[in-house]
Amino acid sequence: MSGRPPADAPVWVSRRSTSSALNVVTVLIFVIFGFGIRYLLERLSPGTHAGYVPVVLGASSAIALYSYTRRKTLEGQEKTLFWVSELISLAVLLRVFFAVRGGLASLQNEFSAFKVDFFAAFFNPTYLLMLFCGLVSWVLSNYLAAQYDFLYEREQDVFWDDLGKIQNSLKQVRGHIITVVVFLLIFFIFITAIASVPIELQGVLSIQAAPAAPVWMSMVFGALVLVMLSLTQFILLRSRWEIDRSTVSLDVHRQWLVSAAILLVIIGVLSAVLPTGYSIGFFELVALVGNFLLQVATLLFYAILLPFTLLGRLFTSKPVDSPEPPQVQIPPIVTTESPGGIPPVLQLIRDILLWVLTFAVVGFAFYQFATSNSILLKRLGSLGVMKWLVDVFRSILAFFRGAGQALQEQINRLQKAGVRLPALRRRAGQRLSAPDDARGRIIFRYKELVGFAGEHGIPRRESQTPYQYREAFTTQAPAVSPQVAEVTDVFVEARYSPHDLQPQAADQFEARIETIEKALDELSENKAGDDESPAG
Amino acid sequence: MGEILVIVLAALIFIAALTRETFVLVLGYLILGTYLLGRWWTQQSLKSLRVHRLFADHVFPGENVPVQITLNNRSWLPAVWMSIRDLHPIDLSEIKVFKQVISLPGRKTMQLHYQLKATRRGFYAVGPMSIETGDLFGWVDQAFSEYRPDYLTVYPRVIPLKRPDLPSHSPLGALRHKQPIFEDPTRPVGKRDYMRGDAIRRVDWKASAATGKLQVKLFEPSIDMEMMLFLNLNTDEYHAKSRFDGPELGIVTAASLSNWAVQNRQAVGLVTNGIDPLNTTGEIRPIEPRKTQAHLMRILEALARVKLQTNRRIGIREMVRTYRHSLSWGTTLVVISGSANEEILRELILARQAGMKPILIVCGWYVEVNLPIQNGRAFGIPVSILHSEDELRGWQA
Repeated sequence: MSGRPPADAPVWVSRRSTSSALNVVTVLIFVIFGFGIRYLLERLSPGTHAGYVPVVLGASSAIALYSYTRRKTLEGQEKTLFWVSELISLAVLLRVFFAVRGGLASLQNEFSAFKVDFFAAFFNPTYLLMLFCGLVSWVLSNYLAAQYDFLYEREQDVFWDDLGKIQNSLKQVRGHIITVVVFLLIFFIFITAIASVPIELQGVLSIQAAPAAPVWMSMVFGALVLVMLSLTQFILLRSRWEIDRSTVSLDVHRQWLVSAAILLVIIGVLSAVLPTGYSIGFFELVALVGNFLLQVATLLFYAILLPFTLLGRLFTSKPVDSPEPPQVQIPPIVTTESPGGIPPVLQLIRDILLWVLTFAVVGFAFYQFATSNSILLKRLGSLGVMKWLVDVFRSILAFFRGAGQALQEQINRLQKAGVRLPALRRRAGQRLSAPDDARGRIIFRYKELVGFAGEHGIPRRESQTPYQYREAFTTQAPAVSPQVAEVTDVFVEARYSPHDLQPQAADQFEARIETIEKALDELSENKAGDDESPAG
Repeated sequence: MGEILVIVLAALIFIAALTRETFVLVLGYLILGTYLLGRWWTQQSLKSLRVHRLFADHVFPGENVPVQITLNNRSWLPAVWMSIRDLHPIDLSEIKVFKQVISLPGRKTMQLHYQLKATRRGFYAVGPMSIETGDLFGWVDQAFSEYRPDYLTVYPRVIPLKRPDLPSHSPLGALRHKQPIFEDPTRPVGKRDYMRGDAIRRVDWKASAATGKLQVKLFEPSIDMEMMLFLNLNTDEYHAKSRFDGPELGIVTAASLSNWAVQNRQAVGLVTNGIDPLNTTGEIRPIEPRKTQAHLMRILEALARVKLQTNRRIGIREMVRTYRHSLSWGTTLVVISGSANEEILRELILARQAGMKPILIVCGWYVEVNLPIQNGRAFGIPVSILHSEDELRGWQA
């Protein structure tokens, strides 16, 4: 309590502003959610007056967020009474809003209806539907308001509570907020998806297929969810910095805001530009591309065989028909749709892009999963086919990496010493062929280790000899000092000795390197773990 | 969180592509885009960062050491937040870690400053520095990069001595001496009448011819004081209550004597059994006696770095025994330790018999002297007891 900073401290100002921003984003999320519900209602029942759903949801959310700050100071019966009175006020206000929304004529009609059957007229189906939507928004907003308040309270505890406890608590609160928002997102996707699907229930319901929900709704909703995530992440980090008693530069708040906005705009534009529809299905596209490649291969085969065919004419008395070159042609694109009259080639490009993107994402997800579950990867790797595939992939990778390195080295050399093309070619050839023999493999893997270690915080300076680098390495990672010493000795032998090296030596060398790399990975993870440990 | 998110998104995008749900695809792109860009941005922020720590790496106690951390963002992308933590020993500052959170715009350089205070001698690691950054949405774990430490050497306190009572047998040196047996023929100071017993070589024949009486030359006595300091840093050989202040006082004494010697153009060397953190064997190699200022800095650097040790096999007696054979005749052999006993005295007597001039300096607020000392001498060997730096300052008189 004594360690609390003065009320005018910048972080305090920032805390108020983030709190307000969270409330604004919450209201906006409910407004967009309202648009989704409106879209669904208009599809299910075209006569429903659902135009006010976004307003109702937004207003209910705003009321809930505002009244929470008033209600939280109350206790016991007072609190319950406030709660009930707020709900009744909300219901009445909503009804009044419905009564006056059509102007004076609508109000007169309402009163006439009240005279006939007050109960039925007051609680008409549209009103009940709106009331239900408003109540859902009110309840969820209340829950979110409680979480924000808890977040705010816990954040203030940083001056006298345990670091790990606060961090865990804040993470938990953030988890709750995200859960609600993700739940809304999923529900939003569900209702907008279901709205465009044709539904046919014999004698009960018959809904024709409709165009998909407007893209802007999902983009704005997604953007708001991301803003919410960004805000809560900022609050989490800010409390951590405060616990840590770090001096926080004022620029961080401004830069965060600006960068998040720029990032969202860029991603928003990209999302809008990237293909979302297609006219050729995946398997059709595969067949199309496969067919095209086959034709290209045939043409190449023809080109290779052509000289032999022509030579063959010299040894035969019979006239040989001159071979006809195969025609390469793009197969006709059978489109299932033609949106906006896009030319077929552009359609093809768009479809290829979409499917490549989709499968790249799936591949990336698989890679992520496999790298974080190394046992699975090992088991897969033990399969013969997988081994072969991995070897092929590694060879290709090594080739390109070697080529890239050789190119870079030569560019550097050329920049320093001018152009000497014959030497350049010779050296590039040596460099690329190096991984094939034991000496080349050892040097290559050692360089890879140096790069790897550099990425893990043990960079090698240009002026350092292998032995000096070994010293620096073992100081940073003493656990692997015997392996590093051994590896350095082998490398020096490979680099400077004239005698031949056995492939077994290179195998052993690579095994040692792998051990070191694993140890470095573990070291990095431990460091990261130590850093995360306060939060549990 | 990132891994699960990617899997869910991949499934979402795949299903959306199959079912042609445009708005779901857009949503997938949006979230996946922020994830991928945020992940790439985080890695790029650290990769394109160049960090440089600058400070005066050799200082004397009491000096302030301003440390400047320069962060250079070579990328066009800004680093939205970076948490910087630079560790340093508690001896150098009240706060153990310099912590700051900054935002670094693209293609900009930022300098951060903090102060260290060199309170006591030592060889300190300033760092390692760790820099942490992350994405704006919490999708990926914070990225972390560590930068190697730099080292700060704080020399031991050097007390300027004017005339320490250090005898020497070495004639013909640079230091004036009271005993006429060390007269230096290169330093004539006058003439007097011949007296019986004066060496014929000292007769000044020209002056004798001019005055008509035999005149002899008078020379200023001088000595050369090649000095070897034997510093005992085995805390077991200090009094139990002076295990830390005693060796530290010994280090200050050695530094001050070295300084005095070099200022007077005398050669000085050092042998110690302390631990050198820079040497893989942990031993400090003996430093041969030399006269230059650079040599003094070498000794001071070794004394700054050296760490105390316990239970080492090599004690002060073994040290003297090992190295005295390599010292030249007449060398003043200064033994600085925390106790005086017969064993060390026996070694020093042997050194004296070999033509050296041994001195024993016992340091510590509490000392163990198990020898009969009369008039500051034990069996003819000078013994000085220093309880504090103030007493060392007394040597200035």
